Amino acid sequence: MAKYLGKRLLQLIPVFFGATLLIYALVFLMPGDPIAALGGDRGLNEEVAARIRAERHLDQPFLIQYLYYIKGIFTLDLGTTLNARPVLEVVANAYPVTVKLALMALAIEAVMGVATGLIAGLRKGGVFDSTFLVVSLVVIAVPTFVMGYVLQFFIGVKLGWLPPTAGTDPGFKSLLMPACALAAVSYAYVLRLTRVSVFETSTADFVRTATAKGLTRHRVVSHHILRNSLIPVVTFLGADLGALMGGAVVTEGVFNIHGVGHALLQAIRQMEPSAVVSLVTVLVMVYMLSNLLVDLLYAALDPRIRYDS
Amino acid sequence: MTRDHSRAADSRGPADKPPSKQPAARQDHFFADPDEVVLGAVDTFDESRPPSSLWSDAWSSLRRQPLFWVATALTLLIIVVALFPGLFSSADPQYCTLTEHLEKPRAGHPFGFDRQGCDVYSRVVYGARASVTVGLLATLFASLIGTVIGATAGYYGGWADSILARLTDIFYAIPVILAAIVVMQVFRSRATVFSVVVVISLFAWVNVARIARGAVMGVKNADFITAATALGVSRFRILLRHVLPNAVAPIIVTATTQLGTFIVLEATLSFLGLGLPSSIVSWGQDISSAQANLRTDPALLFYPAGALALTVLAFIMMGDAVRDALDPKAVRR
Amino acid sequence: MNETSAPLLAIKDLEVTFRSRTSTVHAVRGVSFDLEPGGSLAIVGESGSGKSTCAHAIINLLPGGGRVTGGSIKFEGQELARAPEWTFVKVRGSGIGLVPQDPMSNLNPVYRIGSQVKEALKANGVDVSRSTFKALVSQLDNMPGSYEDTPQARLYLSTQGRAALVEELSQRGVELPSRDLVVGFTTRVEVQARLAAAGLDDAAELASKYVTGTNATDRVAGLLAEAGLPDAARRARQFPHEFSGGMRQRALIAMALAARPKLLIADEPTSALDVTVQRQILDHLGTLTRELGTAVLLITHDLGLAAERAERLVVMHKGRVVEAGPSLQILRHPVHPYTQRLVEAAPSLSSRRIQVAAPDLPERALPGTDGRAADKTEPAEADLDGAETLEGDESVEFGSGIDQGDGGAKAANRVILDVSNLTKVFRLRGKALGRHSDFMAVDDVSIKVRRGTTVALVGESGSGKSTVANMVLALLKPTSGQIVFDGVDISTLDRKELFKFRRRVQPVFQDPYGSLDPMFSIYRIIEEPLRTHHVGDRKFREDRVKELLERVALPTSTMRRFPNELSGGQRQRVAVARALALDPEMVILDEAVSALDVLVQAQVLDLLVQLQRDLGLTYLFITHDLAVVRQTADRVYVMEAGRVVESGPTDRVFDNPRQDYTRKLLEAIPGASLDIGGWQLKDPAA
Repeated sequence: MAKYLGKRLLQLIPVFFGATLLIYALVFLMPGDPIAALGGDRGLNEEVAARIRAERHLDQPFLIQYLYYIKGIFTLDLGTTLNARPVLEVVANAYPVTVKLALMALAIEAVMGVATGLIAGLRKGGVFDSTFLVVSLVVIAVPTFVMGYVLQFFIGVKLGWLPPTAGTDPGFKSLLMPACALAAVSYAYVLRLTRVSVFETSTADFVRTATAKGLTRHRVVSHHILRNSLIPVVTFLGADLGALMGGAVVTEGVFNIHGVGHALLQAIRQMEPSAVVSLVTVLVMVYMLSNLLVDLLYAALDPRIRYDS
Repeated sequence: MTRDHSRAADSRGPADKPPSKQPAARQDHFFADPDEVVLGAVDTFDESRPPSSLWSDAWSSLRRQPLFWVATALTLLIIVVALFPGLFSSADPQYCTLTEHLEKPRAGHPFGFDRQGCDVYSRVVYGARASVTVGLLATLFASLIGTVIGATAGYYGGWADSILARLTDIFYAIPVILAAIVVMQVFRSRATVFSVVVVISLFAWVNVARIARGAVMGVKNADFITAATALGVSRFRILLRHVLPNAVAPIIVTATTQLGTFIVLEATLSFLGLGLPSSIVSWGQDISSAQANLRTDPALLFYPAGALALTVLAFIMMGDAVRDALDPKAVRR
Repeated sequence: MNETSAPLLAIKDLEVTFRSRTSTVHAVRGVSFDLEPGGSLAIVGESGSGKSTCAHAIINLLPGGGRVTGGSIKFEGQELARAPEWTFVKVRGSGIGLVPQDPMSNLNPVYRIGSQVKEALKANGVDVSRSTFKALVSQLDNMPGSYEDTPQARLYLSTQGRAALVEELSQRGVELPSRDLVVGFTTRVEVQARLAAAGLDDAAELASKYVTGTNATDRVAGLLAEAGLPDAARRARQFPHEFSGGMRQRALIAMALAARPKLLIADEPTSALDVTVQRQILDHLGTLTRELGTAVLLITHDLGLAAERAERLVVMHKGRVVEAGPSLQILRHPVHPYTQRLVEAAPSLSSRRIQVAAPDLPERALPGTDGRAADKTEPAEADLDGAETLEGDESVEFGSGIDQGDGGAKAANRVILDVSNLTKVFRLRGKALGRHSDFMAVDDVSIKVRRGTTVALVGESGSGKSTVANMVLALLKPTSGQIVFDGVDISTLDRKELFKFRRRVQPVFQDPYGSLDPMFSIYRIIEEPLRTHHVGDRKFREDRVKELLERVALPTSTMRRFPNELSGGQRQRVAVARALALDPEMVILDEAVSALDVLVQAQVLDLLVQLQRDLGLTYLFITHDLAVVRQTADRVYVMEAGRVVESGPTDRVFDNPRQDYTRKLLEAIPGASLDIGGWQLKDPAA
């Protein structure tokens, strides 16, 4: 297991550098000069601009700039925004609420998705299955932001059950509706994945053998069918955590939550490349780490993996 | 050979061997009446059935699915709307007068007017084009890139695979929506349908590549590939003629499923103000601008949102139907 | 066997129907048979005969859409047909155990072996007695010390108890073989007996002191040990993927017998395993079920195996019973034409039978003229052959046997393929990064094949036989050694010459479902070699495809079809047609008939022999199936773990195997121990 972990971590290194380089390139190689724009309409004193560039290593070749940036990541010195706010502070302020939101969404989609998926998979072709298959189709077809507005309008505005917007430092109740909106599409995928997985597992030979041993249906379902069906589902859920944090960009916009998405959009509007890079890099790192976690979880769930690759 | 070869295989029958002298000597030796179970010649070929390839099998199973017909009807309708919006709406979606600000629906303007005083119905009709174009083109390009990269990695293996696998991992590590947000900010108002397509394809090929790699690897060790090699067919030709055609089904399935996702992605970008410029009518933008009046005029938001959802639904249903037809056992993605 | 005893299992007029949206299939139609307690019965049939469906119907494990639609299934007098599910939950495991077909897919990959066996114990809440117990008790009468036939006497030895006992014994200077003290398996009374036998006076005291019963974990180890798994306690903690196929099957047997069912259904229990492993496991299963008094219902496609392992046979065809009765009687005097066909086609049975029927005739008839056959088997030759076994130098042997008849034009006598000292080492990636180990798949193999003959390369899985085939096909580079085809070392061929070489040597592979491109029509499949080698124009190629289809006895209309429309045997015939398209001189048949049902297999073999005669082909026949070899090959090379351990003319190898391994292989042929010629065993009908 330790060996497997080591190998996965080793594989992560080139991916880390590749992904950060790509992001860095995307943000910084773009046309336009944020430093020149800093002065607004008046324009910036050439001397001041040069000094700012030197401070931010913007006068260096691209790769050197990138290496400074990597160094910054490892020393937790992400620099400052153009209006002198430490980027680390921006990131640290933005993340907690987004993490909370993403974890709530993950919990919702996991519990609901597996529960409905299991029932649908065990009774494939039945009324429950058909109904939830249609539900999943509709849910996938409705984009997250539309789902957000629909919930906001009906539950928040019309019915008034939950606060329609979250505002700063939202609690559990304020985040519940955004989390549902965020989880919706993934829920549909979890439902479908569980359903197919449960159905396929339930026709597997070893399930028949387990039944032939004299086990009750309940034990066959809980110990053999569900346990084995969860392997691909858990893989999906883990990878989805990162995607949910990325998707939060949209949800946060709809519900006015001051998280990563909010900060990112602001940084983009204010042309703050260093903030954009850092916010995205952290998201990518979360994504990579959650994928790593999935791999480990996968290895824990499926003993064959530990020895295979 | 110990058997007598003057006897052809198919002539073997009851007459070959004299029946046992005392078949019923023992009470518990049961045998059925030979006339009851008709013995045909071994392994004969039934010529009466019509020929069917895997594709025609898939088609006949597709034909039987109501889901497929619903999806096809919807898709066709949407494509016609996208191609000839003028057939469905005589109003100009870009002609807006503030005097019509949030006017209620009336004859000729079934959905009313939005904040800028534009005709909502005609904007819904004209918005189809951007969504459908982006969806189809991005799917096409992402599938092409993904197939080439995935198939190369899977088929040639070794160093090619290692390098391409890392490349895939890198792109996989960056969620498409984030990459698109970052890149699209550059275009700002200069964005075109084509730039959106390029950005989506550049970051969304990973799924197809992974599927293609897996499918190619699954096929490349089949006996018929070895047989073709032993015939002297060249390696590249085997890839084109044997491997790819056998790996194409899961790629098609992934591509169809992604189509809907790409349409949503375009709408999301437009919604965030990072997608198509306001000179192009798009549902995402209309939803975004309708949001301000959500509390008072929710219908303004629901018309374009409904059109968007219906379009995505059509393509997702199509993907589902195709997947069921091509591979009854396929798992999502 | 007591004929009057009430049957344990009584099946009457059983009907099973599979319904799907589009079709209704009557898989089992009016099947009836009885099985007495402790008896054994085999259902024999080809794929699709309904034999497995019958078995699954008994314990209500029919796959989706299948239902018992008529008749009765009585187990111990209880009606099971259409019984509610809870009845089956009770019966399964404790009343009826199942040993499934494919050991690879029947264990849950995510649980340890031990916990899967424990599950079977717990579900049925049983402890166990074995019939050996009784035997031991009677033995004990003659032993010093006393015993009691109490539940305590049946307690099992536990891990701690065993350790303490061994400790105590070693202090006294007594040592018992470890197989006499198996945790979770050896009972108190057995321990007592063994201690008494070792001359200990206080055997009874020791036994009751140290054998105090086990927990479930120890019992699981005991069950696995009972099923013949060595080092069971450690093995129980492993996962299925760490087990070989044979070991998995033993674990499945342990599970099936854990709750001591009265009936064991063994559904093709060993068809996925190598013959030698198959034999071991069936022997073990036989002993075990006899000891436990378990009745066995064996489901198999192999008539020889069925007859060897069961007292009675039920032969099924298309869902019906065509013949049923005592095994040997059916084999010797099959009445129904279908059974006759089966008996005739079964490779192991037919060759033996004919051998017995005409022992002094040359049994090896080369395909071709009778003259060949007559020349072929000479006593002197066998002696000459004795000079070589391992080296494979055949300069003197059966050369004289090849006549210059129809094959003469092709210089039949010449060695067409000369493989010498062939070695292939695969580099395996080790578990740690950068480390690797070498695996010698083929080790110093030398083979000579003469034009127009059939040479068989026989071995179990992992013997390296297919690796040899791939090297001969120039699909794989040898690590060392030479492959000389028609006087030219194939490693010296450049691209153009290699391309030409490929015209002359063609393969036919095992898997009829994987060897044809499912996207190609039959026409394109057979035409591909012609097109690749730029042979003829379109018209010519079409005629050639038609001609080839006729050669393999398929209607020419087949060419518009696709592989998925053909049966396994038909696909294999298409594969043969493709191999023949370029008029090759040599065909490598890599397990080409192994996946086929017996009747179809016989048909394809006949076809191959006919083609050899007509076209003067040379065959290199790669197979694990010795019985098929006997029917087809002139000469055999037996491979084990990458090496050729024995070679020689087929008759010599079969009649006087010189190596233990060959003997083991031969003995493992199902039905090999049977004699159905009627001169050895008493035949009540005669």
